[in-house]
Amino acid sequence: MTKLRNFLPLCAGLLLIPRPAHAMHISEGILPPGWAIFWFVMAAPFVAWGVRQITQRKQADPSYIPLIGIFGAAVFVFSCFPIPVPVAGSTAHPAGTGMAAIFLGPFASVVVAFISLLLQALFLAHGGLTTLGGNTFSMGVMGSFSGYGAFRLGRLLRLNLFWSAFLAGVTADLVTYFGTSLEMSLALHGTQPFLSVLAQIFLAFMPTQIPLSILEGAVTGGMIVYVQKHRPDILRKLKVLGEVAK
Amino acid sequence: MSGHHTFIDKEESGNLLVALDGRVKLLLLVAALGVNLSAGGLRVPPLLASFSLLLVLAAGVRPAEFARRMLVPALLAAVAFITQLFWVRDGAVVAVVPLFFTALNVHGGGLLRGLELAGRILGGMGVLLCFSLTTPLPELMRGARFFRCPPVLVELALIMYRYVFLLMEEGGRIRNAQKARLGFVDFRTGLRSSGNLGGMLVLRSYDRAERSFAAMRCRGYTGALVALPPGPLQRRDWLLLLAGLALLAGLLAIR
Repeated sequence: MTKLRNFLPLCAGLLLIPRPAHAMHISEGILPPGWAIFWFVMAAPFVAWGVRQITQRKQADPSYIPLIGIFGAAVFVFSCFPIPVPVAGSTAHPAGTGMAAIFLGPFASVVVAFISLLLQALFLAHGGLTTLGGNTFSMGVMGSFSGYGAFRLGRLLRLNLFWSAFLAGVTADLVTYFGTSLEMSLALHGTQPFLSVLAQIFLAFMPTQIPLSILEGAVTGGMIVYVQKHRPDILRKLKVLGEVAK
Repeated sequence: MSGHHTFIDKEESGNLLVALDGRVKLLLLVAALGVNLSAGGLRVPPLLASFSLLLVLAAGVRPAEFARRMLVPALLAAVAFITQLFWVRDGAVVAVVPLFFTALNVHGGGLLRGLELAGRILGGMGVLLCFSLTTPLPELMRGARFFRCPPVLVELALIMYRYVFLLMEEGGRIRNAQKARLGFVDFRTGLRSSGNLGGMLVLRSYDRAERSFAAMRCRGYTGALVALPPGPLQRRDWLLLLAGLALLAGLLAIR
């Protein structure tokens, strides 16, 4: 009892230590078998459709595979670079799904996220293999589609490139965390009401995630503006600007 | 570059565990993770973590390296344990913990579920680390090809893996150059530098992709990476596969 009394505040204190954001990936072992399979089934059609789309484009243009592979690596690398977070006095890492979706399209971005998550699980020990389906769904599917949708919406609303990409970065980041919270609360809510646990987890992410998502939005915007300024042909070739491009 | 992102990759080693066929390791990995998830209780996950540690040590990895890699999973396991104390209120109250202005009633069910969850995280991450510390990616991809993984996924994984190291170095150099030019002197400048860094990485990746494609065409690339198919499993691979599966079946039996 006394030991437990000492141990719990210590563990709670650990939560307050500023550290790089690993929480985006659900760790190996957290999801029970049923939920692990469920999220694999949910993510599989998106990965399969992305693979089909990439295969079709590869047949028309064989240079597409090295392009998407190296772009995927660049997004992966960029998501590993620390961004200063003034609130936590620490650094955090962008998710990168918003920018991947803008450059590669949402389905290809799901495939890139799937491979990135696999590499991170196997070679960085972030995330896991049985949680790969869940992580792919939250980061790849929810992050990519929401980020891409936000970017397209911004272009339709005639926002400039920076603000459209900003919107994509913020939305992809927050939706990814919502997806992670949803998956964790479904699996771990125990005897508590699911919605209450969902709110607790999502709100626990918010103090660091709101500033981080704004930073990620700003960096995504700055990045796309940089590319437009120096190599607008890349944006044209990847059809980033779409039909409403100026 | 953040020190938290050091890749684990064993390219060359004469050690038996490292030299074991990737297909066997892949099968054992999936089976071990399946046992870790489905066994339940408090016995199997710690045993799996202990076996992983022993195997990693036998493969010549320093214990400190394994322990360093397990730090983040251990932290996550502690957090998961605490959440279950709050969220699972099954069974009798086994402890009352004063918490700020209130008290937390720790129920037996919550304590058990928390320990189970923490054990599963540590067991699963131990197994995963054991695999990653002893398996190079090309070996894994050969195994994935054998198990009929779509070739596009294998190709993309290999290209991404190849270029991640290169671009990490390149990104690190750009970041150091930005730092040297006071690119991170204050928050606003740091943010602009981060955007420029991302943009530069995109430009360089695009140019590099075009050059790589030209080089691949020169080497006969016609839309598919050609590699030698893995040969038949050797006797030692079969023996280790059977021994591993027997061990996992034993663990499942004693759960």
